[in-house]
Amino acid sequence: MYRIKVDHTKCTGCRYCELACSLNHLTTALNPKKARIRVLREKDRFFPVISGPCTEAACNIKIDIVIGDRTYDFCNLCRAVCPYKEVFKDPKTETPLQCDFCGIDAPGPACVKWCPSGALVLEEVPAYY
Amino acid sequence: MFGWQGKALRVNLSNGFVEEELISENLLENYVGGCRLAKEVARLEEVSAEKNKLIFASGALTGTGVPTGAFCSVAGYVSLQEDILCAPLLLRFGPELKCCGYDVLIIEGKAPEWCYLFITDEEAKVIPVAEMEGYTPAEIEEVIRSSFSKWYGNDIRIISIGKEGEQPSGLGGLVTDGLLVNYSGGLGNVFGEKRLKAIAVRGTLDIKLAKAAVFQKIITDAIKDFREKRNKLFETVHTVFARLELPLSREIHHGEIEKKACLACPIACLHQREGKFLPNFTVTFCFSELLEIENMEDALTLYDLCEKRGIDPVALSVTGRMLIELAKVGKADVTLTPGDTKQLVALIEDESSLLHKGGFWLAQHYQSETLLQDITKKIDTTREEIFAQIEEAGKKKAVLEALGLCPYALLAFPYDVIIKAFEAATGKALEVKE
Ligand code: SF4
Ligand code: SF4
Ligand code: SF4
Repeated sequence: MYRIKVDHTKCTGCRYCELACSLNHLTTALNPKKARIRVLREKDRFFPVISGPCTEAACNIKIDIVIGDRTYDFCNLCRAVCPYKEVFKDPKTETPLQCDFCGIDAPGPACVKWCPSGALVLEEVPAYY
Repeated sequence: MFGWQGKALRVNLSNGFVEEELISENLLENYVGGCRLAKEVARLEEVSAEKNKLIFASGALTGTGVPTGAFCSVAGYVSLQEDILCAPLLLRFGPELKCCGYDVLIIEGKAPEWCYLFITDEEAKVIPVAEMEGYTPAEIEEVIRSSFSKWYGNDIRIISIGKEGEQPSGLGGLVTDGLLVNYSGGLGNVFGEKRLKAIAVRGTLDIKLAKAAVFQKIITDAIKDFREKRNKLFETVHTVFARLELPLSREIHHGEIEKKACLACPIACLHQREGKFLPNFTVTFCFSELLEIENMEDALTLYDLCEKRGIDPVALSVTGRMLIELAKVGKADVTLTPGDTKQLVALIEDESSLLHKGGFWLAQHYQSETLLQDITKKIDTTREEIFAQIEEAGKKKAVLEALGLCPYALLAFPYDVIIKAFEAATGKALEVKE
């Protein structure tokens, strides 16, 4: 099976992934606010976050995450579509937007195809993973 | 319309009146974007010293995903230069304005007190912020973003001015999302004249494409090709820089730096260290060749001061060089030794110093127009060097600039990819006139 590997250290914040995802789903238009991947900024870093499951309640763990010598707000890395986080919702209808992997065969994950920096890579992982 | 939104927003700061207007298709087709469109709108609006307006214009490809399709141009009448000036805004302001539904934004009148303009696809309002007077652009961005939720604030794009733009000066530039806008010297002061401290935009509308499937294939292929040739591109750029012998650039751009990009730009020529933008190629050239700054600490201190006060670093370098030359021949009574950053900082902090007059005023006052031309030509010639290996670079660059794209796109993408993408995005053929 396939997974999208995200390397935030390579991300330049170009938002090509957001454009690609929105075009792939809207089919005739682009709109980053309707993408199922959003590039969130935390301090001086960009974190491409792919929208995951929709949850009915916000979590209450609010932990910090330490990567290298920096501490980040966990909310910025979390993939959940939660009531607290408005980024993975259609801006007009508020319908949660969840990554559907674009159909893994053709045409394949649009975000990976348009990511020019190598921050998003499609990787094959063992099925039990 | 496809590619464009076909609408302009007019805001009058004197009375807060906001109006949406349709833009003639003819105008957009003849002036597809960039400063050509912004200046044409300025001409139609009869922008002058007495009737000054700020014009923002995005091109047909802004925000569509065409490589480097991120720019928006801003124009206004700069009194100290007695002309309409125009500068390209990098990063994401233009695409965001387009997602608010507008290709063009016209700001007229003068606010009764300091204010900022907030535009979404649902409303545009003038918000009084008297307390923001004297704020640095970074402080303004922080105040604006923190007045919304974290996620909403993350998507707001901002242009602002610092202290330099609040007073009459030839150096007052713009800052967009933390990045100083090169060549915006004087435009910041147009914001200041209007008591406009900032513009914040956040849009959620679609940008429609005429032939979406064709467009998607063009961009997919172009990015695939870019990824395969990426190393070669960076080699070429390094060779150009090595040829130009800019030791300051090597110093600034080495070590722990992070590459950042404007919207839809695979090249990512912007650099940050610890969250702050570093001087780009043009600024590094200006600092080292015009101001003769040799060490990195001095260059970064100066750039930092520019960011805090909202000073256009290119205008600062040109004016600084003018003063150095005028002082040498005894025309201007000022002490400015090449490479002495302390003297330069003192002149910046002295608000009555000649430095704040800007290069154009100095050239006129001291009848030294040729000197100014020579200095600006030096910058232009160096920038041209970057495109030396590209056939018909002048013509292609002019087309890209007219489309509101970054000319650096030519270094990484075949010209015909851009032209085909234009046709797929807008459904119209691009006719290039001499
Ligand atoms: S895999 Fe497809 S649906 Fe999922 S984020 Fe990427 S482009 Fe969007
Ligand atoms: S396309 Fe790639 S580099 Fe660009 S913002 Fe998305 S993840 Fe980052
Ligand atoms: S090359 Fe640099 S300035 Fe041009 S669009 Fe890309 S990041 Fe922006």
